[in-house]
Amino acid sequence: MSMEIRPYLLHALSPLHAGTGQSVGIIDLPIARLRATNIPFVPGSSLKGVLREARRSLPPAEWEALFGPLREVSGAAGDEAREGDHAGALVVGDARLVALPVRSFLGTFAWVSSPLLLELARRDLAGLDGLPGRMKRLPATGARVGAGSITVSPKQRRLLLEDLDLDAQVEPAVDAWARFLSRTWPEEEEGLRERFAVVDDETMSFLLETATQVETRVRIDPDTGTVVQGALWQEESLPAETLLVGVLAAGRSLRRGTELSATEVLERALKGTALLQLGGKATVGRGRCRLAAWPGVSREARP
Amino acid sequence: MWLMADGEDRCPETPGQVPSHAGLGYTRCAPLAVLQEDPAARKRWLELLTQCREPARYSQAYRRWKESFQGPDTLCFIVRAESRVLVGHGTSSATGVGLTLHHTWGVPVLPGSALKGLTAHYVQTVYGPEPGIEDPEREPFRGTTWEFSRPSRAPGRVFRRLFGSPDVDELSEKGSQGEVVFHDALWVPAEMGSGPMLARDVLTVHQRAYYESGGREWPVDFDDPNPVSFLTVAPGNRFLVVLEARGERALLERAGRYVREALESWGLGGKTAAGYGRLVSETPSLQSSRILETPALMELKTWLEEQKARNVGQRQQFQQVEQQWAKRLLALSMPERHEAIRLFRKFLNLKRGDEQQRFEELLTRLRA
Repeated sequence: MSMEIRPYLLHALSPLHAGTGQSVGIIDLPIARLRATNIPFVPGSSLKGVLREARRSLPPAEWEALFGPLREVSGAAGDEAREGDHAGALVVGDARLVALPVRSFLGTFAWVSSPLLLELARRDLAGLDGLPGRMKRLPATGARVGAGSITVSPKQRRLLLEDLDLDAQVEPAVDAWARFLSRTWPEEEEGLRERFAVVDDETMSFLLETATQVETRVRIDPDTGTVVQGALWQEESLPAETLLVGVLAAGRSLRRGTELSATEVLERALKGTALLQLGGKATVGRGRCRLAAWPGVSREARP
Repeated sequence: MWLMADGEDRCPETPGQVPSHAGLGYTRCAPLAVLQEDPAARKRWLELLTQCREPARYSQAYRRWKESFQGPDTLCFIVRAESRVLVGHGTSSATGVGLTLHHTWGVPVLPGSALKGLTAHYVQTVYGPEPGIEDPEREPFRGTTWEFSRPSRAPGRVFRRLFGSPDVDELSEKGSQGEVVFHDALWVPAEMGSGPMLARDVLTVHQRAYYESGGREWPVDFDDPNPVSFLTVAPGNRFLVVLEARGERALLERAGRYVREALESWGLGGKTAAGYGRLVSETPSLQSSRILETPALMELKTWLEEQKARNVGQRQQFQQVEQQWAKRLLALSMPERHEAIRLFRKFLNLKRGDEQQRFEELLTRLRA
């Protein structure tokens, strides 16, 4: 069966808290990360649920063809074969971090990525026109920036992030990546190019731990106006302007009586998709994201 | 924390450079002398941070944010800080007094959680029932009752819809999410010639030994004053408040009114008892909550009240308005004229005939 694949860019407009709900560390509510690499991500299941809700206006038959029928009882208990059961035609992949905005002494902040993050993104983006080649690993601690970067110091070309100073060299591949990512976001191309930077993988894993947004929140007792004993917690999120990459895929509809091609499934899933709310803490404005697919379609045959 | 020795600069090539990210400058690097409590160094450093300006391309990001909110499900209005604003003074910084700024852009921000918390507190105190008194009219505005860290009683109907409710026990309704989203209120990019984003502030502790010992040492007159300086958001800065509720316009407007009232009369963030955090809506609301008090208006109001107290008929009252007031009011400034219209609407209620028409004409002339 042939699958149609459409990679997308997820751009956080407000802090994004895709959390784990619990922790044993200092941060009470940390964000979800991939286990082996510690890279922050938004699970595909989370995004699929949000898309399912956002597409309520579709005709019920099409809605079910796209996302699959809802179980009567959720969880393992409801996992029983029923008449007319079918899988949803839409496949939603995880959205993985590709560039983290890190505060910078010059230029306010830099969109920081690393060879590993870009290599993982390249897998998702394979087959798209103009995809930049493999980014070489940096031999030592340091950074690569584009030609017109506003985040490096004028003479010694140093990138001053948080409390790290990194020697930066200009590399055309960085510009190529910024241009490529901004194809989903044309009006911001210049802005992305002048702030895009690639650091070595070790520095990146340090930044993934230390450069996320951590807010301390409290609950105040209305009677006393002071913080309730024990009602202070720390909450981690990906800061506004974070960029993540993921893949949407679709096959033809598997629902009996509803004929939809893979292209039609993707069209319906993405129709008018621009703004979604993802992750937790929605009522205090967390997780407002812009989702945009790369123009142009790539096909892939599944054995 | 990056500690800078005397005279050292974070970026030695550009000595004295203002950090382009105020939040980074405030929380991640400080001159060593600041930690050693050298007041002159502290002053110099904070003065440097108050020179932080709008970051490059912030206005583009702000426009993008603003344009992403459209349609009947959202309510946007701009509030202006009448006084200094200090949110997040409990978070860490080299001065010991923190300040919440936008993580990525380093500009001031009013966090959505602060707006929601303030409004919830305001609604339950002002509109909700007094503690221990059952009042059916005020019951819908009751807030959640907490016992230590556990909810013990579910909130009233309106409160639940606005702010949500936790799971309480098996008897009451299940927990639910609030229907209104309180977004972070982003800083509105400065216009040409407007003031700074941040300002240095001073608080002077007079009886330091008394406070630090927890009351074991006596406060005495010959204690040295102890000035503590820190950063606050300067008055005059403007913020875009955005509320969102799906398909619930009436609820949304109600929430908007509460946010406005709470920001104006209670204030947001810390030190509100000292007048901090007062923010006033710039977009004229449906009912203007600010009452102008100029001599002419006061006179008009007193006169209208007198007429009411003496039970003068509506028609007769209006004839006197035409004779005594019309000319005078038309010479007033625009805001005063609007306030006069508001007063007339409140006190005069002409039901029919020639007078009603003339009354409407007068109001139109006042509005023009």
